[in-house]
Amino acid sequence: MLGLTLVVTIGKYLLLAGLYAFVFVVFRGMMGQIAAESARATEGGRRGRRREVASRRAIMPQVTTRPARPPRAASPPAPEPALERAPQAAQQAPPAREASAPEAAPEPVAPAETPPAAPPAPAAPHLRVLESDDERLSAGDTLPLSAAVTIGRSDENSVRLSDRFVSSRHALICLRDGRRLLVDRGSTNGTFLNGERVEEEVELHDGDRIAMGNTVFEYHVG
Amino acid sequence: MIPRSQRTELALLLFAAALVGFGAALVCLGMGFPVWRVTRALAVVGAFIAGAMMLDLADPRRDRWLLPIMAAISGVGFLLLWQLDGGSASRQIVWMITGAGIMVAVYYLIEDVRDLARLKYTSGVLALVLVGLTLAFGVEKGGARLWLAIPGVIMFQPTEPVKVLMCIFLAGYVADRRELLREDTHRVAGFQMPRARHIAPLLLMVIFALTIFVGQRDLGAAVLFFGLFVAMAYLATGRKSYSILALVLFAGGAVGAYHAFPHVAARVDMWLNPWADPENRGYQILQSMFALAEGGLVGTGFATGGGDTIPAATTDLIFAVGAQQFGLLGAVAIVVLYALAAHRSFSIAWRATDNFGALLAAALAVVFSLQTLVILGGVTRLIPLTGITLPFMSYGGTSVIVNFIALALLLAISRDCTPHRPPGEVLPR
Repeated sequence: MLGLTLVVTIGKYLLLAGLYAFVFVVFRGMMGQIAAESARATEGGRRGRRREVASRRAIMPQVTTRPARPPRAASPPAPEPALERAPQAAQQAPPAREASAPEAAPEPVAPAETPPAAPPAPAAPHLRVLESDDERLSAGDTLPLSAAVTIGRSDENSVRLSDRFVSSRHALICLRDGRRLLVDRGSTNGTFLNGERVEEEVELHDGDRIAMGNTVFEYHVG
Repeated sequence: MIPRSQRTELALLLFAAALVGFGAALVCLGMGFPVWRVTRALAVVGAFIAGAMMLDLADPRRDRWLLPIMAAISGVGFLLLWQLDGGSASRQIVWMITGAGIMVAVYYLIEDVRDLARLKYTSGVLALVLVGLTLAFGVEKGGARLWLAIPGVIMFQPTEPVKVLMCIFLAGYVADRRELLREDTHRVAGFQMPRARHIAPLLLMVIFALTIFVGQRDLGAAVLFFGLFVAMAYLATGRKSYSILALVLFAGGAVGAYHAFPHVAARVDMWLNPWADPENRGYQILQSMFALAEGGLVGTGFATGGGDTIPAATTDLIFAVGAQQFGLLGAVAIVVLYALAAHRSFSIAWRATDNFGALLAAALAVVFSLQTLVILGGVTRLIPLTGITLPFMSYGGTSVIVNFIALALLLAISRDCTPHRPPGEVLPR
């Protein structure tokens, strides 16, 4: 009986030791993986690229359509007509993106992907760029509008403008009760609709001119 | 040649199996079971190993750490359960194997987690229906109406599936309206609040669920869902004002519930002073405290009894039994395992490549951590004790199966984090 108690007691310590060994191995392994990943990220790897891609996506209409997704996925109806109307742009885009897929491959400069002669004309609500300081935007580019699009200088915006007269969180264009609204998010230099400064929010109509900093957009319903 | 990450996972799973097998041998020795019954404990870890291999047949690009951690937690939980109640333990093996099978099935079925976003309203309605049915036709067990039964066919606890359904609903709803919730705001009493039309369906749903849970006397679930809602509001918008407001609401609600519902008041009173009624209402928490005290630093070891006097020892209070047998050291190891699992789940959320996947993973991670926190806090008398299961350790068919489904969803989301996808897939909208 004493022998059994002894065995069970020793076993208890061994089990505790084993449990801690397991915890240690898992912990070290997980942290090791995280360290390796962040090292890759600082070399311009995944995370660095993710941010760059995110801002590029917001600006490039071709990239906002999701060609890699199977068509059965319920994506908003907007991208489909865009693809049909601009077959050349749509066909051009995927190979270019596949070529950039390998690790740390430099992203092609955004405007290179756009055939300058024939910018696509989406049927969905969109903004057309009239003037911009941002070298990634040129006059005539279109930006499709989802239910809510934020515009500003910081990375978190769905449309990022590198324009030093644009605030980091500058404006919002959103759909509310079927009306498309332009909301100024307390910007320093103001948001202007057809030359008048927007106080808080204002409804948008087809052909309206939206200006912020050195950037001018034109709003189109379709 | 098996890839390195896959080998690491297999090695860790085998490590867990060895650990649990050794523990099972000690249990057999101490309890006087025949030695071949060690295979019962190995079957629990074996379910994870077989599951891991079958997942790799579908898509090997997934998280490699969650399964070993859960396997170790489940194995240790099983060893405790085994000594307490042989019948429950046998059923638990069946549940674990079934659960692992369901995990594999879910992982196979979900080609792309984003497809689940389309089911957000279905999940939301289903969750409410389940909760409503329980309230209307539920079977009462131990003072709470938690069970739903189709007589002779099936009997389950709807709270468990409702957790996952609510995660899908909240993640889907919030992912769609993230920017509206964040930016289309107005100022109310110094707080930037989202407009009522964006947040009303969400609030309505949560208030309805909470009312029903409080009516059902399932306080653990009520706290869990409230916490999930607050976490989602914060994760989606990054606005601290929502969290502060929610905490204020929670404090108000807690005080209100204390005065309005006698069963809430009883829980709090027993937490503050269990000695007021040690034989009756304070019995459970006191037995838990005794178990923790008896465990000391290194515990009493297997097969030393313990748990016989603790009510709900196999389910809600299994941690107290573990702490008695393995002491503070063992209890801390278990808590660290849970923390690592939570870290991993949030890490999957952080890496997810789209809003819905990230929010769903985060929601599941919040539910998992909050649930662990609520019951561990309750058992150790850090917070009032409310009945809720300890994921993967407690006995219970519904709980085990739903935990496996949640695990399958997390693993499916982790598939999207691999760098093989074209960069255009990143962050839609």
